[in-house]
Amino acid sequence: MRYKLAFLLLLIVSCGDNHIVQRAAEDYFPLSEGYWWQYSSQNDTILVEVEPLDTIIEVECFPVTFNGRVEYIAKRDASISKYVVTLYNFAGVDYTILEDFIVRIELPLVKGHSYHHVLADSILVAGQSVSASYEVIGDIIDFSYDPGYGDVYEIRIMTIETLVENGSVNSDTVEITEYYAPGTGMIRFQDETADYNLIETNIP
Amino acid sequence: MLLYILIGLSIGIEGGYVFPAVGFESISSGAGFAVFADRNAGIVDVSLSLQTAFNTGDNPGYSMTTMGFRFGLYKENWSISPVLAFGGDYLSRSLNGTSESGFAAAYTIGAQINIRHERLHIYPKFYYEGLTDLKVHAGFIGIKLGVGYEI
Repeated sequence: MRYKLAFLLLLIVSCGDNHIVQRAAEDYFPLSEGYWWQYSSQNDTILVEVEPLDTIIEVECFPVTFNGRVEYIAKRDASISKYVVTLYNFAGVDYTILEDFIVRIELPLVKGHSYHHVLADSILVAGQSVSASYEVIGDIIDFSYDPGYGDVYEIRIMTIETLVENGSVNSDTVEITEYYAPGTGMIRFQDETADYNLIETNIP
Repeated sequence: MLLYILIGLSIGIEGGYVFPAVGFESISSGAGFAVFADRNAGIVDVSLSLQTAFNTGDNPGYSMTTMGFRFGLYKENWSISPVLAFGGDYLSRSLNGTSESGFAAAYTIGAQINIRHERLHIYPKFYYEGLTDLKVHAGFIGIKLGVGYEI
């Protein structure tokens, strides 16, 4: 009887590609100084590197360079957050309208989960109200099994930056789809112009 | 036959806490509960238990629930006894209402201190509980208190 039970159990577990323990237990966002990832599309290459830990507005975060362009990423218990600052230039002076960390990806990853985070503020510049907002809309679309990486999550992230001055609204929307693998991090991302795939990484 | 099954059979409950030890970084801690039946089978005592555990996450909206069974071996007549068990779990992980689920093989390695008083058997148990989907292994350290009664 006990052998039948064990056999049945192994059969259940080994059938299919539903690696629930991997998805529940592994780290999909390895982030540490010195890690890097290199991606290539048909006509471009991007190097993403993690720099030494830094502190921005009293939040410990990693500067992460994307071909030299720096973004500040904080890995928290429940999210991967990104530093956002919106400046408004008037008469040659930069005024800060928004400055904070915003959730980019909610953790842990669970298929079907959606989230929406907004930063918004306004200031008076020369007697005129100037307001800005930064929105992140995320969807954990699905996971699929990749023989090289295991269960890979597909995440769609839309960011909407809006600036309102003198009644006119300037808005910029960017949509990106990212694919994350356990222990590796992002292995692929697609924006409106290109599809980048991981070609090399350094995660000791 | 029924009499044979019942003689020497113990039934009981276990309850305690678990903490992630390998993997499961998004989980802070959990509570587990089990009902079991066991009996002496010559050299060892064997047990069959049904158990569940509810784990809360670092993200307040996240939780992971396991439900499953264990087939276990231990020595009740030793004051400190090793515990070995294997079985399977149904895992469900949920974040703010959306959830995923799947099956995992499970095993338990640990030790328990047996305290016997007439038909009553009380034991604190310290153990490591491993879960695997045959792709990845992860696990919890747990502490439970069990109470059994020999019928």
